[in-house]
Amino acid sequence: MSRIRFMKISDLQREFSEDLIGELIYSRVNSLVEGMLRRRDPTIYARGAHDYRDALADVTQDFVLDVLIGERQIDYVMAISPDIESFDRLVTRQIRRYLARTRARTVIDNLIERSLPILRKAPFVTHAGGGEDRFSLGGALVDDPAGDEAQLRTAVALAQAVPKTIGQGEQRAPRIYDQEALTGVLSILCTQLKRPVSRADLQDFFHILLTPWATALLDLDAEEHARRTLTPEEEAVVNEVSQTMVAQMSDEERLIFQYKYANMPDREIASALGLSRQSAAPRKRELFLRISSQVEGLALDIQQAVLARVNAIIAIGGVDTG
Amino acid sequence: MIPESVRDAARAAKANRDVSSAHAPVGARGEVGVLRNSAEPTPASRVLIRLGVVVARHDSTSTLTIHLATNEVEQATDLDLILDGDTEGLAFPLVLQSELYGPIFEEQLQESLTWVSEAMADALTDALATDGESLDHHHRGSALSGPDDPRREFKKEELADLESLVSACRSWLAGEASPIEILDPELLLPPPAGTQVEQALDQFLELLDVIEEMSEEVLHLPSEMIALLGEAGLIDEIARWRQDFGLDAGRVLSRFTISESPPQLFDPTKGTEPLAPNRRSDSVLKPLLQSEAEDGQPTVDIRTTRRCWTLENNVAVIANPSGSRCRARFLKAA
Repeated sequence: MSRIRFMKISDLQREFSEDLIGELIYSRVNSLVEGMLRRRDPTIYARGAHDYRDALADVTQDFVLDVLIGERQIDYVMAISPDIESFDRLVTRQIRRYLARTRARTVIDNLIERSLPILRKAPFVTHAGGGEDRFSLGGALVDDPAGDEAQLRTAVALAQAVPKTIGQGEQRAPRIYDQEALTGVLSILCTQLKRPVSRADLQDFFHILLTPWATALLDLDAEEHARRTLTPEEEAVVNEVSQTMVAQMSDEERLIFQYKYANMPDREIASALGLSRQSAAPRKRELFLRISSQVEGLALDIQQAVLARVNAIIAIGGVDTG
Repeated sequence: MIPESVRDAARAAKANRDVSSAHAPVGARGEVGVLRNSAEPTPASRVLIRLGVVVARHDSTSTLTIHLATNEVEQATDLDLILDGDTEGLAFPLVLQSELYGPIFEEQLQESLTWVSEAMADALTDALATDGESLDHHHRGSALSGPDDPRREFKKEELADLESLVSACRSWLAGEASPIEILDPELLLPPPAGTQVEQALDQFLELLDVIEEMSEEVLHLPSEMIALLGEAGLIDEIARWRQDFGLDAGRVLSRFTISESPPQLFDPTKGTEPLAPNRRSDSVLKPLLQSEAEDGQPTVDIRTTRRCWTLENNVAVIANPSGSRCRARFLKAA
């Protein structure tokens, strides 16, 4: 222990240039992994162990093999560590990312298991064959592998705007989406991909969708994020205003709202509408003016709740979530 | 105790691709390298080292425009360009962040790791103006969503690091005063013998005006400058104010406090090329600026007049063989 306390960055740099990773770096990383696991639920982050110490050696070894050597993150850490404190800070950050990714895999598996029953029900359509079921939302299907990447990107951007409920750190695999939101997210994926969706597609989609949230999932374990819940009266206002707002929107306006709420660039809105940017701009402006007048007078957090609800209603698009 | 499997994997990884061989930077567009904040660490500040990519080089000020890079690929947005781990010379993946850019002094780029193509540099610098369209055919992240998107918090932390890297250079480029201000030694030199007394008096008044402008705070005259003036035989030259024109420059100098000299005195006989035409005192000023450069001082303000500094460009860059630089900004009296 005292050896770790008195290590200098120059010792680690020497070992790095000779061996990449040797005794000194390994023992220091082990102590950092221990510091991280000690504060967290071992059943979630230490391979289900009763005591984190039972899994410490395995977690350290896998982290060093997968991240520091496999991804060569040790090169990055050594390139920008002027002192031992920076080394510790950067490696700790990498450990957090690693633990978060490990947990995110469990979360994604859980989401896929919850998605399949939803996708097997109307309005989704099941396409059997080839030993694996695939799913669509009906409508015109176009098998265009060339456009897949762009369509998946759009689906992810739109789905990111669907509200998450991740404040359940005590669970091994937080739900992330309630039933209604998950249906909305799946509806977005099927609509955007324009082809039957496989389990592998779901895996890719949720992976990209949740990657930025991986470390946030970890943080929610450490601290409770207080969220203000709406009072019944406020809930009623949000419901009424959002339902009215959606009912008054044309299909085109719903698309504009959904894209804008997801922070998509104007050129992608124009492209989705089949218009030039110049032609799309006045329609967007007109919609925003109407929305502004409809939420005028409401408190800011209620306005935000209304817009989130409008987005959720549009995303679900009339799909029965019962 | 390190497991044998880890030791074997480290050996294999090292054999497969040796530890990134950093080399001296060039400071040209597309260069990916190690950046350091310019300030010397104090109890209140820390040394910050980050990676970044150079997108522009400005020779007149010896500054670079860089974009900050991070290894946290999952934090990439649709405005960030992701370099995969198989980029030549780069062992790990790296995210080049289009929204996080700013100027640095050239010497802040300390090592070069790899290069990105001209097309990639273009795509990165055009990303904001094209709303990300320039990155369409490159690997990038997904669009930021609402206020609860965790990447917003990450970008805030990155912005704080960027500030630490670029703030000194940006302030200087914006015209903020350098911490060190010295009198142009050229002003101390009298006109040639035979010059009419009225003309000499005008130049002497210029010197007094400049000192008056400087005299809001304590005036420092580096002791090194005195030593260099002596070595260059210019102390005798200053004495000519009195001998040739009856003007007492010695009393002017008495208004200065002689300050400690930087530790290393550069050889004034080296690099005797003047900074601008017809300047006689650059055998004093250049070694002084070289010393400041060696001391890690990136900028110095020189109080002067239009007569002593005739060039349009007010900045002269002095580089040492070690790569350190000092930028002298000549501030002409009104």
